[in-house]
Amino acid sequence: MRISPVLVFILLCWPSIGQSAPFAYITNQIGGSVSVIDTETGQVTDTIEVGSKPAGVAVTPDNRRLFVTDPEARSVFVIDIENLELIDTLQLGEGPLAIAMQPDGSRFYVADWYEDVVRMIDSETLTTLKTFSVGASPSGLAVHPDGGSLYVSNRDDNTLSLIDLETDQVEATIEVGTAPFGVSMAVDGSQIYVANVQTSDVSIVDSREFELTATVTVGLFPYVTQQVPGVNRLFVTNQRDGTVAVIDLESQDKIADIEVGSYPEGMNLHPDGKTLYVSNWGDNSVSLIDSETLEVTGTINVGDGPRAYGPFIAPR
Amino acid sequence: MRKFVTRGLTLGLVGLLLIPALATAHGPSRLKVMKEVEIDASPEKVWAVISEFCSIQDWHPAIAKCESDGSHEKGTTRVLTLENGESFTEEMLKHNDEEMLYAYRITEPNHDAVPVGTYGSTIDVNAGENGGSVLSWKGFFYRAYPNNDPPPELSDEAAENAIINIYDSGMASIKELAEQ
Repeated sequence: MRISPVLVFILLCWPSIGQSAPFAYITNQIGGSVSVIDTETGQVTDTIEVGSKPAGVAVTPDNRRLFVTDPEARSVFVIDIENLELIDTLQLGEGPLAIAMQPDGSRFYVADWYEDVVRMIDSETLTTLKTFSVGASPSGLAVHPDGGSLYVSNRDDNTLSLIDLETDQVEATIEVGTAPFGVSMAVDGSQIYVANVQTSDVSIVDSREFELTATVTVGLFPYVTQQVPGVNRLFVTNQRDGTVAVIDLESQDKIADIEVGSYPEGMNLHPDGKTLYVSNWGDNSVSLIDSETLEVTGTINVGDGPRAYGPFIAPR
Repeated sequence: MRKFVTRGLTLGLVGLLLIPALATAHGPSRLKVMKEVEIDASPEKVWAVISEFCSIQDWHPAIAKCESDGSHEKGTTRVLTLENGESFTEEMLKHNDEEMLYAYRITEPNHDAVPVGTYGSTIDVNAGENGGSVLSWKGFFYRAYPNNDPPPELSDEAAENAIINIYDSGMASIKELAEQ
């Protein structure tokens, strides 16, 4: 039998073949560590000490590198996922928090809430390729799945900025609610969702027109949003209420509040397309939510002050 | 408007007006203090000591005076004055007799009273062993200084130490009163 060299190359480069289910990387802001959860067993398999107050998190699409922001340490930490080892530290600005990956993994973006800029960083060399001036206290980032646009919430200006990644210009800025924080996108790129901490609502923005189309009231201190396309719902962590609000995207109404732990913050959809992982900063746990039944199906204990701000689930 | 001590005119409206002033949770990282103490008294007895919003003036050694309308409603406020004359305002977020807990936040921080910025807290009584209770008090907050490189008196450490002192001294006093 003749084996295609191309096939061999693909097999060698394909990190997920023969490996286990996705892992969740939970930044523990007070604990100064990252808890690594095997999502198949629901067990914390490793804890990596990193920085002083790690907060933001992103994984390269090839699942080789984990980037962790730490505003307190003014750093981005680079972790090798295969060995779960800290391999590099990038000193960056005055307060790096929000982080987002370019879909092809070539670069990532970090918002600095003291300097009011977003930096574009080369994922390999860790050099700053561009610096964009945005609004006051940029706090949330999302990249369009087509890689052409970057959206930035400016918390102290109550605005959302659109950066065109082809022209590298801040193209437009629109008003949203008060103190916008987490930004996410619909999986198909059609909509942008912004959690407005102080007006307790979510702004739904049409991405093609870059226009606010709806504002939906949720709970107190909404922080992060996550769309689940399979059920056409948007989930929102409400820090002060200890709940996750559920919005039906068809009617654009809130249909439920799910009780989770204290101060829920980061939230991601598992690659199963169904299970949400929510980090509860207040009681050091991660809640699992079934996005169809809206029930909490599990709780996993992690380190102190789990923030998990960013896309924290990836295969390994 | 004349204010009465402990029970007086409705301050609820004031609380509502203060909501827009909700502190901007800024650059520094949020901090957490969680304290627990076992008390050799029934949960009902411990709850009776603390359940009134302004009972804090009776059981906390650092509080000289508390002014409130005596309500438990969400949005009701209390103005706390320390022995040194500094004062600050807190607002009830949730009060539940069945669960024996209440949650509140500082609406107007006063760094000379307590060096914290945005601050939220929950005090909670649960059943303990042998008919006793476990009192827990937790606070989530930011330091008073919103930017990098705080002066020592407005640092994370100063904020944490202040809250730890408040909780420790308050809980020791609640324990003593409930066990009498």
